[in-house]
Amino acid sequence: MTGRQKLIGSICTLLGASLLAFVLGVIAPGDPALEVLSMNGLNEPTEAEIAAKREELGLNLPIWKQYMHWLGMVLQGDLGVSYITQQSVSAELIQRLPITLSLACGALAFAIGFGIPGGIILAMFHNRWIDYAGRAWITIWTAFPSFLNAILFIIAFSEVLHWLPTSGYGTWQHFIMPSIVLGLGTSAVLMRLTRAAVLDILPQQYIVTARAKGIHMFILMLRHVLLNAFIPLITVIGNYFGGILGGAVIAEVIFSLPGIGRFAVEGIFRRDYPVMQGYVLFMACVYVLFNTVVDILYGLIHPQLRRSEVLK
Amino acid sequence: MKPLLSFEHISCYFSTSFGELQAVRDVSLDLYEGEIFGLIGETGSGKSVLGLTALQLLPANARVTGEVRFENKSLLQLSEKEMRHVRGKKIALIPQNPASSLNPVLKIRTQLREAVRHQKELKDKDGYLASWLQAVSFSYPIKLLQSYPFQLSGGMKQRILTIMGAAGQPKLLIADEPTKGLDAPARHDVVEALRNVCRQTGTTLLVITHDLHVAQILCDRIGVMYAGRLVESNDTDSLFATPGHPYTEALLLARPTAGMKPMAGDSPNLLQVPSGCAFHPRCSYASEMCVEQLPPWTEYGQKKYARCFLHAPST
Repeated sequence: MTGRQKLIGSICTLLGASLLAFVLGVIAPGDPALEVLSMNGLNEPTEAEIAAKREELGLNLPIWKQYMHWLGMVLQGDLGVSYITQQSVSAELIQRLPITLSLACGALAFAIGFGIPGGIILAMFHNRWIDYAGRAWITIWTAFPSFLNAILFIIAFSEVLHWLPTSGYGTWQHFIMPSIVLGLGTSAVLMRLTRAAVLDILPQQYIVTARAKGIHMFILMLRHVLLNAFIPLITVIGNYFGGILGGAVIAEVIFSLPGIGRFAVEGIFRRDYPVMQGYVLFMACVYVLFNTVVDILYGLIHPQLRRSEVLK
Repeated sequence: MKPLLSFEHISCYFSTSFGELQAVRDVSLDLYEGEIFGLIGETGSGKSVLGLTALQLLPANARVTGEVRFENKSLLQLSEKEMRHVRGKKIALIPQNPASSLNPVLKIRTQLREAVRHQKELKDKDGYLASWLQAVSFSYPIKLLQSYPFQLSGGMKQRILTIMGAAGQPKLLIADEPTKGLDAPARHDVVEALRNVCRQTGTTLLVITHDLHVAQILCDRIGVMYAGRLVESNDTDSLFATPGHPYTEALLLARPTAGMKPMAGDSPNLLQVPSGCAFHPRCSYASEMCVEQLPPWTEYGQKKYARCFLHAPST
């Protein structure tokens, strides 16, 4: 695919996500006007009050007009106002973004930093006890759901060992446990894939060629093996980043981190449509952006994607 | 004259899912400094495996017995680290299958520079490599250095691999099927390049090939392998004029220029190699003795060796 095709594809993806985000709000059960008026749980709103609120929120307009109006606002960076808190959704998202981003990057760094070297070590000790132990480790952490990991980690590192804070936010130590819990599953997947990719590359003829030149083991692994292994790995890292962002919701709720994920969960519980829509749209943007970065990296490693000239 | 490299009673076994397979059977062979030695035989005769034992580059399921002596050092005793200083610098390899022998994601320059890495006195490495590239008739060496393997044809890759082996100026160069799958002009280029390298730098060359024509025009001496054993060793001219082993004779008759007379029978199954002389089921001279006993390695003329009862002293 050329760069232009990729760009058009990204725009289509974002438009689709915006439509989906909007429709999600429309088809969700419950009347937002009623929700807003009865949120203090004390007074029953009258018919007239509800009708007035519906008019105020623009809920009486035809659907497509509501969408066009909403999209126009979105393009200006305005994701609307939360029905509940009366705060600007985009301001809330931007304010919470650093927290979720730190968490997701921490998780990704852990997954890559632990999974890829781990996979290389397992491949180098293929069918030895390290390899068997590593494969058991991979199976365990792929199977365990992250909410269970979170609880086990809190018991181990906070309650018993007192090394890390149980929850909350403020220092970098607060991010260690959530990042590891969030990245553990992905690190196991990456470890398994790295191991498979390296085992696939080691018997290749070009590795024999490289070894015949007498180059150092370290250079052989880094330059000849890993660079080739990165081609399948980068695709997977790109795909799993979406999973990490989704998983951030759970980590943020359990560890009480005021990130975007928790904001979305609170929005869902209160049927706060602008918040839900904002979250979906925002995540779609992050996802498209990350995939573009992956595509660029992919092209950097894979020369065939950026050069087509054949020499004579 | 002392040999540069000696294979002494080399046997090589591979553990496979069908059981242990012996690819090389008790082969002893001397290579002398400056000569071009050809190793011929059909696919599966063990010639490539024998070549790779000198570099210890066989896959992990291989087991080697015997001894490889190089400049009076025993190579099979060396550790992986010590072996690294032999590979590329003392003994270099021109691998088979040019299509898969170059790393697809690295520039030709990066891959060639690894081969001249140990030549510290060399200031302008790119210029040095460019002169090598020009020597094998590449017109745009600088552009070529900046390219990737997928931009090159099979013949170009083979010539690059030839330089990769030769540019490090090793004492011994092992060329594993250097002309396999090449068309006539490309084959000519590679043969010329190999010949020039050896004549100019005095490099000893071990050519592993099943192309009899290439062996004839390139080699000083030729060894013939069948089912893992060396069955004949002879100088090139007498091997082609008066082959010492019936297998060599059958190989020569199967050449297109000799009327393409096909060899009788099938290639041996390495898991069930025939008794005695492994070639006896296909041999028109075979007798009872060939089925029962392994013929001895016999010097039947000046530097002419064969493993056949036709030359054994008792017959």
